[in-house]
Amino acid sequence: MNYTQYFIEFTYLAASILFILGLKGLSHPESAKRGMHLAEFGMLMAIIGTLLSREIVSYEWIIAGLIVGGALGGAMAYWVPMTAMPQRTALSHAFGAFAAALVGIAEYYNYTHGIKPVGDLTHLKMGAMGFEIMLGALTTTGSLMAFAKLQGMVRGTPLIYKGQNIFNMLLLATTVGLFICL
Amino acid sequence: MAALYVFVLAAFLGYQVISRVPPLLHTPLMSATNAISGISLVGSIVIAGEHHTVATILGFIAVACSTTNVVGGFMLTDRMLRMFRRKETAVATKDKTNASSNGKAK
Repeated sequence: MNYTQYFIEFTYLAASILFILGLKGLSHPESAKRGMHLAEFGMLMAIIGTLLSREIVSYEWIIAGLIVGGALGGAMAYWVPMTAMPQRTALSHAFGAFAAALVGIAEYYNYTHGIKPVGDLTHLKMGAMGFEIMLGALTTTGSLMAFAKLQGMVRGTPLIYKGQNIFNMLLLATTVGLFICL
Repeated sequence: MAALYVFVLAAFLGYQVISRVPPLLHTPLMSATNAISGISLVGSIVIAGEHHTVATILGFIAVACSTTNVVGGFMLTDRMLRMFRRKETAVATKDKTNASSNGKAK
């Protein structure tokens, strides 16, 4: 390990600590603001640490993504009316989950297309990736549904049809089955 | 295996930290945790930085999405807390009996 790697590890550790302190700060009205700033700072540290990682060879797409996402997030946070807050959080949540699912997919693609050695893909790693994609995709669609319902785009009453439970169970079994097959 | 330990311990820690949050702060907390969940940005950055077409394209979308999450989440939390602060001082001036929870606001 050279110094850069030590620094990266340190930033991740610091970010974790700052996140925990930040959440703890949010448990009291007086310290809520400070807690949020701690969490923000932690996120900044994590990003800086990652940008220094030696796996990264090109920065163009990262910077482009940061700009697009920053503009979109900023605009959404700035112009959304205070009354539409729950919807916006749901939508934002869908974005985050979508990103997590995409990371899992890209990682899996890297292993199966010979970019990274397949031998490195242990069962534990595969399991973690499977869960990442499964839960990420589940959260994406779930959050989008929540957004649509809160916004009044979809009726709030539950959609019920005959044999729904059986269908849902089959769907779940298929997902888990596919996951085990892989 | 160490990762599994971290995961389980983090789950307990999260429960402990969150369980003490008063209902008053639930909405900002939801927003803040939403922003923190944007930590998947870290993974997205690594994926986007690798020099392979498919991974880079997926990574670019992922970076854009998670940055939206992070920036939007924190800015919204800030907006909420600012509103909250104003309301709290208003309550403090109106109702002096409730001094225990807003000692600093006086």
